[in-house]
Amino acid sequence: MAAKPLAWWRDRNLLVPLCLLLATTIYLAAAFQVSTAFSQGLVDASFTPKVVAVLMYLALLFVLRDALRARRTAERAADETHFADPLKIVVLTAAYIAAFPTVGYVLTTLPYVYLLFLVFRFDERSQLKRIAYTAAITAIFYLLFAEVFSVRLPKAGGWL
Amino acid sequence: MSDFLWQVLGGFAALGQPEVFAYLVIGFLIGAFFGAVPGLTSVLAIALLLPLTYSLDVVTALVMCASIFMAGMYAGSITATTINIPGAPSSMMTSVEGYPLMQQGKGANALGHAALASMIGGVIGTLLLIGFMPLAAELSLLIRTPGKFSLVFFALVVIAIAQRDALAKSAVTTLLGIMFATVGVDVMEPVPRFTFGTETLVEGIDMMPIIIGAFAISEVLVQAADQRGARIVDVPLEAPPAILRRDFVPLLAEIREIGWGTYLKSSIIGYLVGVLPGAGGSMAAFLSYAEAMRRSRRPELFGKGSREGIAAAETANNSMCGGAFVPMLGIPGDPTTAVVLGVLVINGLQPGTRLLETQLPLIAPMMAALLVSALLLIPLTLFLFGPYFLKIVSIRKAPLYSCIAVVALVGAYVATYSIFQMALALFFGVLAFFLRRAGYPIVTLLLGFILGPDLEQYLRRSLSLNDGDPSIFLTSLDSLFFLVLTAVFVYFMALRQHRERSTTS
Repeated sequence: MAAKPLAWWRDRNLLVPLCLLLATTIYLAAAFQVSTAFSQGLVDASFTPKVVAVLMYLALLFVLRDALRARRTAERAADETHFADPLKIVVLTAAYIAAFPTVGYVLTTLPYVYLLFLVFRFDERSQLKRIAYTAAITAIFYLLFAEVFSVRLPKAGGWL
Repeated sequence: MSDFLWQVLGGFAALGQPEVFAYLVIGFLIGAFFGAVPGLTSVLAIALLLPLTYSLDVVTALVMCASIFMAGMYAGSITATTINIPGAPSSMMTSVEGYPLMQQGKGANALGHAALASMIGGVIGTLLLIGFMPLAAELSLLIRTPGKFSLVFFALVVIAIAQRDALAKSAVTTLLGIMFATVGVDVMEPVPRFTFGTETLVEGIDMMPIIIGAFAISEVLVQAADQRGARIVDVPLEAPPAILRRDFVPLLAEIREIGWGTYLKSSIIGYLVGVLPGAGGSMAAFLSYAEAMRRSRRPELFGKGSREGIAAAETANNSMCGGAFVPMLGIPGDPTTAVVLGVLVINGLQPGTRLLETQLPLIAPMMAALLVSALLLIPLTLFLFGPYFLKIVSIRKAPLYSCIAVVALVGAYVATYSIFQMALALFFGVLAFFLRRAGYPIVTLLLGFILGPDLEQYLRRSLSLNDGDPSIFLTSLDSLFFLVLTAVFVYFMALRQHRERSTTS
């Protein structure tokens, strides 16, 4: 007996094209707002975006058709994706990016790498090893960027 | 022509500079590492290198890219042979033949044959590149604006249909790439588009965050998502067998049995596949392997440890490296050359038909680097590091991907000293992650982004020149040629195969 299909909002084969459909609609609406410096008839600055948007709708229709067909015929696909850890990394990375220019490379990279280790469950038994690896990675890339490639990395208070 | 050859020889002289040669070796070792570790690719290595090219001389950056490319293509055979997990998709056929040899206790011999074949393929592919590049450049000068549009269109269509099982999805990501490319000031008139009221988008989206996001950040997220299924990441490895350096040297009798014809034919197949947009090392290796099996005097050995199979696959995928650089005159055919194209653009070089004419002194060292990487570094690396190859796969994921995350993000920052670029890299990383999880190819997103502005410019110029009449694309001979070629490829690569599959099912 075929298993019950996933709810549409949990089915990534449907969700991704639907999001893209929405994005394309916003894109097409914005394409109609594009002004032109001088009249060139049909072939102005909004011409290509409009053509691309129409082609995108067509391609998405095919993708949606395939996704709906798969929902009707196939058994519920086993979804091995766990979104909790990627989400943690996205949040961590967003925080890292926000803090990077003001807090500086060293003070942001140290906790960032350490927390990445936690997400990746790196040597859960040895705290010391995690700290040592964190310090080593931060130092190695500091040397690579700042010393080898002479890149000005942001520093907190001008010294770290 | 003689001037061209002198300049190419000058490229070898550039490699004589200790600093450039050091970067060549470093690039090769990085490429070998990324190629050997399953999941990491040479494209990712070059993507991570991209921000550093701001600090490097353009010659050094291109030399590094070339050596990473060659090494990555070769190193995939290492894990393919030793643990039956191809480090790169192009080494899949090598694992079919190499791993049985490994099980028979002849792993070192298989690695030796893979290295020899990679060396021969790399050298012949590069010589063919050097030999035919002036001709390709001259031919490309004959193409006029409508023809240029049709050529870019051909490249995009072929790249999209090359993603066999995801035709509609690859069309979606190609178009998405073109959409991102239209953000910012228009290619033909000073009109901002899709800036949504922000000043930061007026300059458009830089190539850097797309490459770093799509290839590096998304990879970190994919690995984080997979880890619960795979638990502690490291590839399971039972007592690694001891390997002696002398075991790597292939026997002359074995080479004779494979036959020089196999090496030569596989090199030509690899080179020609490289020239085609979107084909890549996997197709080169597979076609060459299939041809070797068809013509083999001992076809019964295939699948059970055929050295001829290893030789055919590895010769072809390394020869492909030379071929892949031919379309770089403007139309990158695969992700690696697309990223190399990014290196050119970042350094202020204009890829296209006049690249050889005006920038040959900068391009020649890259060709020389391909040759030196193949001829010297492949055998040298195997000899020096061969016994340690098995340990590459026991590296833990956590430090590896944490390093990749730091290099990617800090790299995105140092390229422009802009937090906005870092944020964009994260945005594209998340987008690529969801697209990859839903089975959308990412390569086409990048190629759509890179080729989109050219496609738009040539399309609008052609139409403007002809009062908006699209018949110009059919009346212009060069354009017609590429459109017919597109139709032929669509028929053979998509329609006919689809029909055959429908009949079979």
